[in-house]
Amino acid sequence: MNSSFKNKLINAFVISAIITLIFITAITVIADLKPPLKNWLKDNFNHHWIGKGVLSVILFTAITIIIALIPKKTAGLKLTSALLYLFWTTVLGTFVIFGFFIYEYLKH
Amino acid sequence: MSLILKISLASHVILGIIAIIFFYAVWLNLFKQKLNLKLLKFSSLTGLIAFLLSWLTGGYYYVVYYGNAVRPGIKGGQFPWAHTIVMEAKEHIFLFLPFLAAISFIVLWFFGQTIATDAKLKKGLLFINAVIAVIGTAIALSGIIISGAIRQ
Amino acid sequence: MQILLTAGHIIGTVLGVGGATFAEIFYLKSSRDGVIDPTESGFLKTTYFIMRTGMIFLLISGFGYLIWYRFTGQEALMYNPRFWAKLTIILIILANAILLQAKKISLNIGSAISLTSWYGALILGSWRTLETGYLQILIFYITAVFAVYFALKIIKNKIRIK
Repeated sequence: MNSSFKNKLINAFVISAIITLIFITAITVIADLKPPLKNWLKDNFNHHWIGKGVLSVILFTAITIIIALIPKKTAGLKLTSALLYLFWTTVLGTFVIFGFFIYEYLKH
Repeated sequence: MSLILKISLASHVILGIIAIIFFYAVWLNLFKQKLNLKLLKFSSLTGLIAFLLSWLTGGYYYVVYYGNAVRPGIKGGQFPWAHTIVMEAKEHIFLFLPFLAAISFIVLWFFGQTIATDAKLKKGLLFINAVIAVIGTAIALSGIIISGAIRQ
Repeated sequence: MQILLTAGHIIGTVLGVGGATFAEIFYLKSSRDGVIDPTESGFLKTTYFIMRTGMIFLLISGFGYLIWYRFTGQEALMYNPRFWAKLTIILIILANAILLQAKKISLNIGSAISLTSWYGALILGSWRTLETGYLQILIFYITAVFAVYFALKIIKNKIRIK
């Protein structure tokens, strides 16, 4: 594997992880607010949580491949910056999910 | 609870703890002046595998048993928030961990040589492994809160 | 199974508390002349390794106990305030190790926290009849950390080579 493709591939993994975590956060909140989405996940994957997991893995893999294969020299973001963005996405995603379920509990 | 469900639950917990221990080890060892790359690589790989197995075993227990046999008891008991807040948050935030673990593993395996001289890369890895260890710990503690609310 | 869990937990406690005790003794001896030489540093590193091994035994056997409670209908024990105080102290030990490794706190402060925490966790684990709240235990623990810090400071000053 040549060095520049390797750099681009690793960056692709990290950017893909950022997008996947945003997706997990979004689908968690939206599926609880929109029963049809939750039902769709349940109908197609036997359980809504399995659906979220499977779609996350598919998304992560697909986005990594797409970014790695686009004919640009770099993935668009420096690895060190991407890692910090991933960190902040994780922190924010955690607070959003936790805060959402506290809100739902208090609302009902 | 059948034997297979007991094995699933026990495996989920122990594998999760093992994963957290290994990523805590990566976090701790990244602070050292002289990095032990072999240890970092081994720990991140073992931690990733442990998280993936914990995901599968916990998922089996959750999908097959928890929803019908455990959740109603918690929601109808003294601590309904143990399911409505803690379990709901835990089952979704947990999904972050395998991806974060994969990133730590990939970066360490492919860029491990450069961490010693690249302070920014080392800092990025420190933050990622810190968040894995801290969130993993919070999830483990959540598991205790949820289990403790059964039969109360 | 319970025998295995108990043995694992005892081994972890022995290694952890013993390691913390010897780490403190070696640190006090090493800092008598104000300098920690490579041999002394080597002894300290070995004791830290032993302490970490002890912690791994404790974490795995500890969660093993929790699984045991779950399977035997003793889930209510997981809401015991003494247990949560012990867990808090374990988390402090782990956070303290990170802060020491990252050189964010001095070895004087870190060692006082470590020593108090390991003995604190030991006492809380052994004192089954303790009937007190979580906050009361933590207040006592924080007071103990300060007391141990100042006691170690006095000892260090008394044994220093002038």
